[in-house]
Amino acid sequence: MMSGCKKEASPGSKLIIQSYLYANKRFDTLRIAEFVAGDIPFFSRPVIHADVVIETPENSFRLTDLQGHSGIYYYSGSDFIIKPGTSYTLTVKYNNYVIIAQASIPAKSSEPILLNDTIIVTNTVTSKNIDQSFATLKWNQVTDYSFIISDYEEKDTLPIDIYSSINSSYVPYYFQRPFNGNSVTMQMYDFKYYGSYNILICQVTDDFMKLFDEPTGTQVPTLIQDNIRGGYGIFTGVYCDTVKLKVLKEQP
Amino acid sequence: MKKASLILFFCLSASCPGLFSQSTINANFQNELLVSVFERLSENYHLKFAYDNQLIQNIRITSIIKDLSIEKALHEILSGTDLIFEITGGVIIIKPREKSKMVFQENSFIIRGIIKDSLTLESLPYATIIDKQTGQFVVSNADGYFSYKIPNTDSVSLHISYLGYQNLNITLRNGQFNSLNKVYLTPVGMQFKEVIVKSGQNKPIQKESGVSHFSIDPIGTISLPQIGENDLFRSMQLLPGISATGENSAGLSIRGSAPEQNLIVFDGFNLYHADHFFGEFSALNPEIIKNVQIYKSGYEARYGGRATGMVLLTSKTGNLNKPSFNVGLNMLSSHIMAEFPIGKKISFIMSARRSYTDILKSNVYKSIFQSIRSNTDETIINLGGVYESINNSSIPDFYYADLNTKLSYFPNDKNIVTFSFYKGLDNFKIANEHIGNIYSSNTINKTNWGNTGASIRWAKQWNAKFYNNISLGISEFLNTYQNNGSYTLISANPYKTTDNETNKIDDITFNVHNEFKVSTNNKIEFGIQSTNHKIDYQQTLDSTQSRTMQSNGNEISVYLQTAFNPSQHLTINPGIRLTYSNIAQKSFIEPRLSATYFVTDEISFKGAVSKHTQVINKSSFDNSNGAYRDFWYNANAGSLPALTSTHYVMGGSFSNTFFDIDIEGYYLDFKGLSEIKQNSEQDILSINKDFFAGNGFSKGIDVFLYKKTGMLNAWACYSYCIANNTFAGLNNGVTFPADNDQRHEFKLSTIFNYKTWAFSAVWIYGSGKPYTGIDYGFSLDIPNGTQRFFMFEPAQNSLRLPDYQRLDVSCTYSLKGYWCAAKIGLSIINLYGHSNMKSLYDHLIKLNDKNQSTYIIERVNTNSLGFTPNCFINFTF
Repeated sequence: MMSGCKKEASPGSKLIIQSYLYANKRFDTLRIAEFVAGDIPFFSRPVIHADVVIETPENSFRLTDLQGHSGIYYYSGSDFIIKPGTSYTLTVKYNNYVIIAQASIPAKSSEPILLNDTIIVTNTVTSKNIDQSFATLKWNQVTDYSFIISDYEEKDTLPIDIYSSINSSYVPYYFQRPFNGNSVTMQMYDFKYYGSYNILICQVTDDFMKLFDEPTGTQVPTLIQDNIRGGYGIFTGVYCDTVKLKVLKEQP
Repeated sequence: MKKASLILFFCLSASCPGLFSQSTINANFQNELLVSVFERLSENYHLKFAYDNQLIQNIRITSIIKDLSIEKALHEILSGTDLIFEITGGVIIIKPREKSKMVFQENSFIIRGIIKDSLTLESLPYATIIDKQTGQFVVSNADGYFSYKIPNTDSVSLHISYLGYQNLNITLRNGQFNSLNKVYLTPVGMQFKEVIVKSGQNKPIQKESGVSHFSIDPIGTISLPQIGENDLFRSMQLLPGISATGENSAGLSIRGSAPEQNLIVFDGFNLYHADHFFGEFSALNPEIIKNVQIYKSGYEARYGGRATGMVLLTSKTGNLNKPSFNVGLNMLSSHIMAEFPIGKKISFIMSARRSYTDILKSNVYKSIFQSIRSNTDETIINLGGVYESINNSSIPDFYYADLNTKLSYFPNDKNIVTFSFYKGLDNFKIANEHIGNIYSSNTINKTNWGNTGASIRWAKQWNAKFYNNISLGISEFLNTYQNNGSYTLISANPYKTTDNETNKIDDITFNVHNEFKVSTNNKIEFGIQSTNHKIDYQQTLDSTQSRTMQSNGNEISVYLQTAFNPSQHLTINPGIRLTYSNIAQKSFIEPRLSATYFVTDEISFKGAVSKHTQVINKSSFDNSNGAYRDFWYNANAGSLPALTSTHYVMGGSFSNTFFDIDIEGYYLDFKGLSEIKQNSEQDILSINKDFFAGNGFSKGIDVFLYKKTGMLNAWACYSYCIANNTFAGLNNGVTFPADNDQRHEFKLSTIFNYKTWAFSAVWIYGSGKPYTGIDYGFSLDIPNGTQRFFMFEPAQNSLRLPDYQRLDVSCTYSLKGYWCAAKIGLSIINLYGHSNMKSLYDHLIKLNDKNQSTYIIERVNTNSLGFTPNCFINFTF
């Protein structure tokens, strides 16, 4: 059994959608797939040539099928910017299936503050250097849940592993799943390489949180998103703010 | 007595004045005419006999005399007759016994006796004694004693039968009625100088006259095809209503029930996880087992503790006549058994078995181990209730062993004291090495599991009317799991972990059973049984996480049952059992009623209604490492109720000299089934929070046809079963098939005996058992670069495994030399190599593609044994 799996009753529809609407960013992409049954259950396969439109009360954006049979749809223009506080409606028509989904974008920035922008990795934490061994991040809670992403910035250089001094593959909960709160304290154990990181504090909604519902208490959880009709998946708004953090090696 | 007919037999040699007090007699008489007995004694011991020829004609004697004085020997020889002796002037005068004054009631007598093995002098439990005049029968009790009330008559003719032994017809005359009649039966094939199995006598199984009741002769099962070891559980699975397609000896699925709903009692103590080799073999060495009784449903009130069936195993008491030894070797293990008398009143038997799979991995071992493995890189195997995932490329160090000992003390004909000890052990060790880009690791998994049990028992036949049996049994199942890991991240010091688990069940059972013969057609049995179940589960993962579950419960039962015959055609067995559980804080009333109506000597109809209670049950949970653990628990007064069941059985039988036909329909209703909520993250398993209860039922028909004479001994079984469960918290509350729901199963077993050869074939067919599997699945990308997986299950257990079938054949050759006997056998399992699927589950795997990742659901299945030959050899001396 795989960890993190969720189980559902057999689907009535066969379509799955996936799209995240990032506030103040250009619309990214929408992925559409369908279930295919067989002797060995096929996981999913891309849907091509679907009729896809995303609308607001003011505008309508028709998406285009990316070539290559990938099931990925994009908007060819440059005017599709996701606006905070706006509600978007997605309509997908494919064969006899119709999916209608709605997503509300969080209204404003959480205005994060990083109290210490550098973490010094040391072999031994003492009273003298303890203040440099962690960094506290605070923000205003706009939605019920926040999700923190650690993005290693120095992707073009060969990263230097810090495991030689820190023995842990532990990943803190706030990098794994959304949580309800307005601050976290990041430690040197939480990072893999020396270097600069973009720390994204993303405000997410209940739709996003539902992806992480573990099947506790019942063996048949439901993943029928309230905001999606006629299919399954995720269509949700995300508002991310970014702060920069450095993880450095202690100088002798 | 006519003087003219009195023949005096004088020894040619001179009589010795001190002969009667000094000589001791050693002799073995097997169904020998009494006149011949006197002749042999005269010749060998220079004795003089005087007797009336008419008086002793046609009297046959079966008796073993060992180091007895002449007087005691004569008492022994004449104990089964209505003759007595008198020594006058050096002559032994044989004369008729005076008519008995031991009249129990006006116009009636109670005859009593004990059934014994003529070679080893062991008592034979559950032998059938039939009155040839009336057709009425009684069954000897667990110690071989029987008593039977007859009207005032000069003689009674009895037909005595016991599975695996020559039938015996005896006539008891008035005068013998008041003494304990020792009846000696001879094992099949042992009455000849050469081992020749007469047709129709090599019967490994027998349908008993009661409802859903069978017995098995462990010796007879040797002729059946064996997977490595002679396995009694596999033989039981050839009976109707006991599933054979699971290829598992860890338990029995009787009439659609889960194995934990069936009680296994060995010499008075309970057994848990009674299996070796990851469930492939039962942990009981059949060499030590004397008798197996199987009750599938509707059994009498003296037995309880489980919701469905029960298996009673009784070990041998050992040879009281002479030392004997048995050694054997097959392609997995070797065994030795020794039995010998200690003086005249004590017998001792010891049996030990050990596999050599840790030293030499035979082809059979490899085949069986291969059959356990899945079609993927990793396999989850059952280590005595610990389900661990092992890498298919790793070869574990593994062996199993068991030891049985039993000491029996017979102070006199009325008392038996036995002490029995059993220990079974499986030892598993596997090392896994992983070298990866991020880290490397070395782990060593050591798991040991097994049962230990002991019992002490005192039984006494107080008189013709009263018998009682007091026993104290202790049982322990222990599983210890240790996983030592050393994980090394690149360029870093090793990080070491140690995970420990112990899973322990301790039972103490005290039992007092009494039997009282009220009248010719009425016997009352009553008793008390008290069991303490102590459960202790401890888990520590790297000293950081721990999980415990402990409980200590007492279960006390009292019972009363009777058997009476309102008419010559009708037998009724009513009974009641009252059980109290201190943890459940509840009393349970378990009425039992069964009846058999004999339309003719050959045709009968039967039925049973009974209630049963089970206060200890088994479940499993994820230990948060992705592996599962079985554990037992006591029912409580909260959300985990005791499991109760009601059995309804009805059927009919036809039995003549050549055939048995038995058909039973049944409906078993279960209340209080329990399931644990998976992914419980509680440190301490909370009985009230982590379980939910439900109900279930199974219903079906079992058909049994038995050809029991001729050179071909064969039986065919067909079972139709529907087993469903309903849980409010599972499958949206909709009723679904139970895990052991199997709609059709057909089994054909044959043994063909020709002189010293036995050829056997078994064909098994079963429709597919249910599984859940996955219908569809998909993944979603998460903005942090990870993914979440979602799967759609069909309704619980709505899919079916493919149908199962296999043909096994075997050939056994028996030979007997001057000082030893031997059996040599060859078995071939799955002769035509049919591919059978034992289990199936689905999981996700990721296929990498340049543009995207595609996920498929991989179907993981474990197949049954393919074509597997095996041979064995056993010596007895």
